[in-house]
Amino acid sequence: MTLFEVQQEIIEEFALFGDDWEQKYEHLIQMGKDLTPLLEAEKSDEKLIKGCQSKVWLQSEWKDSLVYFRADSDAIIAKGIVALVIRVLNGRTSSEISSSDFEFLNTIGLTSHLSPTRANGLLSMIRQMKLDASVLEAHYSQRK
Amino acid sequence: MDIQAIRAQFPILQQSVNGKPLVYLDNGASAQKPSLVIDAIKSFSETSYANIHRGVHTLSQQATLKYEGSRSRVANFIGGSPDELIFTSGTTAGLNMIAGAFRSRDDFRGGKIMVTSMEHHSNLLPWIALVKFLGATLLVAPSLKEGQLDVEWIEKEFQKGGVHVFAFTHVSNVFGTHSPIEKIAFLAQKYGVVTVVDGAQFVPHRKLDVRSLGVDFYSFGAHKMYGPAGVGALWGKKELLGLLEPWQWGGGMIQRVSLDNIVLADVPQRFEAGTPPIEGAIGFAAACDFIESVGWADIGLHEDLLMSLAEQELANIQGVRVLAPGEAKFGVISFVLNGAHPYDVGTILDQMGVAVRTGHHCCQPLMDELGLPGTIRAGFALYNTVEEVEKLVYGVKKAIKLLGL
Repeated sequence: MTLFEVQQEIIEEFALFGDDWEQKYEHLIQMGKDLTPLLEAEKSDEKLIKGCQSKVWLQSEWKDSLVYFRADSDAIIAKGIVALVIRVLNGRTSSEISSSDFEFLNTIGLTSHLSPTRANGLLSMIRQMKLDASVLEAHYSQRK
Repeated sequence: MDIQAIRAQFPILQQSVNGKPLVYLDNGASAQKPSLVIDAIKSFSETSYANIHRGVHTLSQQATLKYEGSRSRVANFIGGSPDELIFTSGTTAGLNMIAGAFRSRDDFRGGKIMVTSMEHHSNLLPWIALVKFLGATLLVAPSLKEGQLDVEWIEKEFQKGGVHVFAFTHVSNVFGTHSPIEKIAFLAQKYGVVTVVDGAQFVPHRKLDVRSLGVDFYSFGAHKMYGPAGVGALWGKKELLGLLEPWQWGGGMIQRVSLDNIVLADVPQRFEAGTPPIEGAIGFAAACDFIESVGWADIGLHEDLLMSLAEQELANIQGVRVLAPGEAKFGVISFVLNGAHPYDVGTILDQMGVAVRTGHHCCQPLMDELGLPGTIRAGFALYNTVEEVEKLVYGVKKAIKLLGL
C-alpha cells in the first residue's frame, strides 16, 4: 500500500465512529496497547523526544534501503498516536518519509483534540522521524 | 452566595468545549476574568490611557492618578500600604527582583539560602542562580509528609547560623496545603533570616493581612485572582525595600541622572523601571474590588465545600490517590490514577469539557521526590459549582473505564 492509501484506510476506519469520541479513543488506546513495546534497555534518554508531556522513545532502523520505526510511551493515548504515525511511515523510503504530511490527522479529528502542547509533542515526533530517516539514508548510502 | 449570578459575570464560562459545557478547573494556573475587570480595562483604554509619571498633559496626569490609585487599592487588599507595593509583571518577576537584588549582598557570600522541596520553579531557579553567583549553599527544607514542612528541621538549620534567606511558598501549587507562615516568620526574625514568600496560590482564596504575618517580602500575581495576566505585585517591608538595590534599570526610576551619578526615585518607583503594566494595574485593582464584592466569608465557605467534596469523592474512587490526603487545602487538589499517565486522564477529561492541569506543575524536583511523572490537578475558583465537581468525578471514572484500568 502506498503512504496515501494507508492514510485513506485510517480515515475510513475512524469514519466508522462518527462523532463518538469514546469509541475513537477506545480505538486509539487499543492501538497503543497493541504496539510492540521497546525493551527497558532501549528506553534511553537519547531516544526521548523533546516537547512531549508524556515520555516518547523512538528507535529508527534501516533495512534494505527502507526505514523502520519502533517506539514506546509511558502514556497509552500518546502511544496510540505514535502507533498511528508508525503505521503510515513504516517501511518507506527516506524521501517518502521526508515529503509526507499529516493532514489526515485533521480529517479524523485528532489534531483538533490535541492541545497545542500535546500537538507540539506529536509534531516533534514526526520531525524526529523525518530527521532520523535522512540521517540513516546519508549514513548507509555513504557506506555503499 | 448566588453562584449562578456570579457565573453570569464571567463571559468565558458560558461556552462549550468539545460540544459540552466548559467545566473550568485549571484555576490554579490562571483564573478567568469577570466583566467588572474586563470593563475596567476597556473603559480605561477608551478614556484615560496615556503613559504615566512623565507627561504634564491632562491625560497623562489622569492615567497616573488611576495607576497610583490602583497601587493603593491592591495594597489595601493585602493589608499593606502603597509605598510598600511594587507593581511587577507577576509573581515570578517579584521573586526574581529580590533574588537579583541580593546579588549585591557581599555579606551573603559563602552563606546559605534556604528553599523548600515543594517550590514552584519560579521560587527555586532564581535562588539557584543566586547561590551560584554568590558561591553560597542551597538548603532544601524537607517535608514531614506530603505538603507539610518540617518546621523543627528549619529551626535547627536557622540555629546553626549562616542562613541569610528563606524563600518558601505560602500555598503549594501541587498539594494545595499551606505553610505555617507565622511560625516560620517568627523563627526567621529570631535568627535574622530574611523571608521571601511566593503567595501566588494563596491570594485568590483567603484574605491576606500581609503585615500580621511577620514576613519580609511577599510576591503574587493578578491572573490567578480574576485579574489580567502580565501584572503582579511585590510587597516588602518599607525599611527593607529602602536597602534593596534595584534589579532593573531604566526610565521612570530616578530623580536625577548624570553620567557619573544616579539619584534614585523613592520606593516603590525606583523598582519600576520602564513603562509598567498600566492597564494591568487598573484591571488588578478591579479584581480586588470583585473579590471583596463577593466577600471573603462566602468565598471561604463555598470553596471549602467544593474542595472537601472533590477530595472525598475522588478518594472514594478505586485506584485514585489524592496527594496530601486529609490535609487542609486551598484551591488545588492533585491526584494520580494507578496505572495511568496523567496525560491520558487529562486528554479524556478534555473530551468531556473538563479542563484540568496535568504534568509536573513546574515542580520537577518535587515530582522526582514523589516518584511521579506528574499529577492531575483540579484547581477551584469561587465560580465553580458542586455539579462541576460531580462532572470531574464522572470524568475520572470514565477515564478508568476507557483506559481499561
